Amino acid sequence: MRTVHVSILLPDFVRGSLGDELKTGVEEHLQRCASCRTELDELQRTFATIGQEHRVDVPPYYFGSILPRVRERLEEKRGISRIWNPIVTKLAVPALTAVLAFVLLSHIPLSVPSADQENPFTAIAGSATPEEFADILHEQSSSSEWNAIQTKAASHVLMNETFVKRQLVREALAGPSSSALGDIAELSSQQLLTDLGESDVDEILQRLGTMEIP
Amino acid sequence: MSDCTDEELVGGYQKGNEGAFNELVLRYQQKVYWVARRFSNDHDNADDITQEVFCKVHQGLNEFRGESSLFTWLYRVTVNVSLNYLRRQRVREFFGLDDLLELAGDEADSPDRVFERQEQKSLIEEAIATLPTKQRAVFVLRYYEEIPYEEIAKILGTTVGGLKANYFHAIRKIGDYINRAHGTR
Repeated sequence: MRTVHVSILLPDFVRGSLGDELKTGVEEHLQRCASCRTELDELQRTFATIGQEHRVDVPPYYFGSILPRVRERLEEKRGISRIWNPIVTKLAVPALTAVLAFVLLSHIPLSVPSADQENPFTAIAGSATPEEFADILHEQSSSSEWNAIQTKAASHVLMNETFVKRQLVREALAGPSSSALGDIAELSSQQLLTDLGESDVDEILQRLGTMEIP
Repeated sequence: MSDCTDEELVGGYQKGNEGAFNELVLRYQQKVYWVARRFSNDHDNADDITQEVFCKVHQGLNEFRGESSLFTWLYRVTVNVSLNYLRRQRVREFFGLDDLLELAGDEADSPDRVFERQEQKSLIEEAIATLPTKQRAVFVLRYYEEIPYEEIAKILGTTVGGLKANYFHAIRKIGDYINRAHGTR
């Protein structure tokens, strides 16, 4: 018999719960195995300590209280299972959801903002006197955004002006007074239009006389 | 009804006699409680486990076909519920949930609570609490309940040889714990 087999039999040997045959085998092994005897001593001490353990008691009323509380818990579980039974989950819950959605939709106003509400500037301007409105515009005109807009607008005006002047030059070149352009007669009209700068246009206009820019 | 065998009570319950279930609770409540108590080392938790075990028995008894004895089946349910409790407890300890719940708990003391606080956890209970769950289950069922290995094997779904080794190691660990405690106290 190997030592490992005796070791795992020792707890039952100590407690007297081994069959006769096994008990005799263990006893014979212990006579010739010091290691297992040491193990046996340890186990006997441990069992003695465990045996001295003061078994904790429960209050006398405790065991009488278990059944009613088990019944109570079963009722609670039944209540929960009733809530989640298939009829409830498949029919009642969707129906309840639909009713709830209808109630919410019919009572919550779907607010569509009026034109005044949509544009805060209109709302401010509408309630301001002309003087206040002028002040607001003046104040806004110093903001960087306003300056950017102004710059863009000014540039646009300048471009338009240039375009008009070029149109005038084109007409002048094509018209009966084209002889007035003697100094630049060698230039083709196409080249002239492409290369003309602002100062060139002004000079041409001066030469052409008193043409007004509309 | 207290004279009925387990099989007769199960049969009675399966025919709709709720009184048969009540008798089963009264018959086994102490055994279930003490197994739960050894697992949880705590009266409140053992009480909770005991109630849960009987709720599961109530739910499962209609499907019980007597392939094992009611006794074995009942212990299996008890061990499973207790092991689940231990798993949950480990998670709660890891996240410190018990401390939070204690802080948030009702200040009023129930009689059970007072009783629980008055008792000191014994050295043996502390030692058992350090055992791995399998060894703890084997130790509780073998030492305290004195259930034969063959029955424990059915309850835990393992082999008799493995159980004997588990039992031996459990006792040795308890002995080591006691020796260390005596050395430091």
